[in-house]
Amino acid sequence: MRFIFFHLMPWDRFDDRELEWPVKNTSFDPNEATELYKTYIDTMAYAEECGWDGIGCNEHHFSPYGMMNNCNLIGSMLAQRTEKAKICMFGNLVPLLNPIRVAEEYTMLDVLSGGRLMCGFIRGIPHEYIAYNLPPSDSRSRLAEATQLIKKAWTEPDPFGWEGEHYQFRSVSIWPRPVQQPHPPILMSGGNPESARNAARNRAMLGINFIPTLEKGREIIDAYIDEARACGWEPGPEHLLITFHTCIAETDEAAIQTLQGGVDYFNSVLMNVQRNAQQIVLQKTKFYRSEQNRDFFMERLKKAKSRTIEEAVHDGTVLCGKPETVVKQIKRAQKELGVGWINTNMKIGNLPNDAVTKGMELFREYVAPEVRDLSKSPEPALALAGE
Amino acid sequence: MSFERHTANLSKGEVTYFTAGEGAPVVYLHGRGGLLKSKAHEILAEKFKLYLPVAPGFDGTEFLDGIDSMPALAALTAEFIDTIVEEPCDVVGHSLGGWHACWVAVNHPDKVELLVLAAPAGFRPNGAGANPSSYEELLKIMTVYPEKQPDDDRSAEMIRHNREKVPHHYHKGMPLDEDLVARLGDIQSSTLLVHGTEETLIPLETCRILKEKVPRIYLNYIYDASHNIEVDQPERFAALVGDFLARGEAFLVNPGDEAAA
Repeated sequence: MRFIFFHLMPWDRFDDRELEWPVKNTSFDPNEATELYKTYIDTMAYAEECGWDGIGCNEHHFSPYGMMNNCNLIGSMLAQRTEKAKICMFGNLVPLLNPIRVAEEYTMLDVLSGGRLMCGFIRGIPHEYIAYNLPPSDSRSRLAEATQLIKKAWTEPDPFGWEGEHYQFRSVSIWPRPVQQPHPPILMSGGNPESARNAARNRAMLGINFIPTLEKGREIIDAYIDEARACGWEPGPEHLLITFHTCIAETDEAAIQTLQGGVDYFNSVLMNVQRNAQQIVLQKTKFYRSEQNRDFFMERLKKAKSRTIEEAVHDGTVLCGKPETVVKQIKRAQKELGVGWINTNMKIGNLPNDAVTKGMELFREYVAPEVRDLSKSPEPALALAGE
Repeated sequence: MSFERHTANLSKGEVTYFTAGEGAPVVYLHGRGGLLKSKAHEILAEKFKLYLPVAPGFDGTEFLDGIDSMPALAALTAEFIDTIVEEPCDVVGHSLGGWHACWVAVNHPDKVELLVLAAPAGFRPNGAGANPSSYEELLKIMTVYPEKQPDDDRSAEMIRHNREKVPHHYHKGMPLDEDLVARLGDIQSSTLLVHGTEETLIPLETCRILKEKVPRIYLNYIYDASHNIEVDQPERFAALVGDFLARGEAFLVNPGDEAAA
C-alpha cells in the first residue's frame, strides 16, 4: 500500500460564512499568505520524512478553497525539497489550459524531480469553467482531445502538427522530454462510472474522491475494471487511488473533534462559496452528459455536507481516529475496494496546522508500519509502460 | 459543387479525369478505392482548381499498355500535368495516391510545386500496420465515422474491384517500396504529411521513414480520423491542406487577421 500526502492549500482564516463565488479578495492578506504558503510547503516536504510515498496538490481558481492556481509551481518546489517522494499533480485542469503548456510543465517537473512525476489530467469542478470563460459543455471533448495531444507531445520523436476540434498547432516539439518512458503515469478522476470508464480507455490510473459510501466507490471501480478489460488490459491495485479526509490523533475522540472543526469550515465556507456558480453550470449546461451523473455529483456534495464524522467513520469514507483505528480503516478500504494507493487529505478547512503535523508523526510511528505491506504494488510507471 | 468529367488523350491512351473549382491548379491522386468525390474536395475547390485523374484500371476504366508500375503511373501523371494542367502544380495524394505522388515528385520534380501525402501507402517496413483478415474488416478500420461516407455514384462491386484487383497491377503487393525509399531524398518540394490519430492501416513507421528521408517535410496529425481522413474529418483536412497549399511553409505561422485581409 502506498500513500500520498495531499494538500488543498486552503485560505483558512475566514470568519464570514455567507460568501458568494467568486469571492472578493479584499480580506485576503498577501503577507499572511506568504507565511501560509511557507507553512504549507514545509508541511508537504515534511511528509516525505513521515513516510508518505508521494506529495500532491491540485489546481483551483477564484476561491479560498485552494490557493494553487498553478499547482506545478508548488510541484517544482517539492521536486527540490524532496528526494524520493512522487510529485503528484492531481492535477492540472487540462481542458482549461493550453495542452502544450501542460505537456511542457509536466515534463519539466518530471525532469526536475528525476522521474518522480505522477500527473493528473483533471476536468475540474463545474465553476472553474466560469473562471476561465470556457463552455462547460465542451469539457469532456476538450479533455479527450487534450489528453491525446499531450501524450503525442510526450512520445512523438519528430516535430508534428495537430489539427483538432479544439486545438490546432502547426509545429510541436517539446523540450525537455520526460524522464519516465513512454511518459509519466497519468491519473484521471472517477467521480462517476462514466468518468471511470474514460480513465480506463486512456489506460490512466483511477482517482476517486470523497465517495459517499464504499459501495459507491466499488461501483466506480468495477466500471473502470470492466472497461479496462474491454480495452484489453488488466488493472491492478497500483492503478487505483482513493482520497480520504484524514485525521490522526492520540484518541478517537480527539481526532473526531479536531476533524469536525475542519470539516465544518470546509463545508460551510470553502465548499459553500462554490455552490451558486456550481448550480448555474450544472443546470444550464451539459457539464454532465446525463442526469444520472449530475445526480451522482449532487448526492455526493449533499451527503458530504450533512453527515457527521461519526457517520463517515461508520461508512468507511474517512480516516479518523487514533493510530490503531486508522490502521483498521485503511485495511477495510483496501479490502473492500482493492486500492493500492490512498491519498490522504489532512489539512481540511481550518484544521490547525500543528494538529496536521502531529497526525503526520503518528502516521509515521504507528500507522505506516502496520499497513505498508497490505498491497505490494509495482511502480505506476512500470505498470503502464506497456501502453 | 459540380465535378466535370473529361478525357485526356495522352501518348499511352485515354485517361478519365474530373475537375472542380477555380484557382491555382492542384492535381489530386486517389487511393486504392478509386476516386471518391468527398466534402474535402468540395471545400478545397472553393479556392483551387482541382484536377482529379482516374488511374487506368480504376472505376471501370481500362489499363493502358506499358503503365504497369508505380514509376510508369507517375510518368503518365507527369504527362497529364504537362498536357492538361499546362504548368507545374501542387500534388496531393491519399493512400495509394500518396505513394503515386511520391514517385511523381521523385522522377518529375519540375512538375511538382507543393506535395501533400495523406496516409501514404508504400512505406510499411516488415508489413507493419493492420492486416485485416477480410474486406469487411478492412472497411471497418478505414473509417471512424462510416455515416459520413459521401454519396457515391459507383457501385459497391466496382469499389471492391478497385481495392482488391487493381492496385496490384502497379505495386505488385509490395508493402515497402525500397526503390522509392532510396530516392526520397530527391524530393525537392515542401511536403505536408498528414496522418489520422486513429489510423491503423498505415503505421507510424511510415511517418518515421518519410520524416527521416524527405528533406522538407511537415507531419500533421488530424485528430479523430482513421485512414479515410477526408471522410472522417473533411473540414479539418481541407483547412490544413488548403492552408498549406495557399501559404506553403508559412502555414506554420498563425496569420491572425491577415488571413481575412
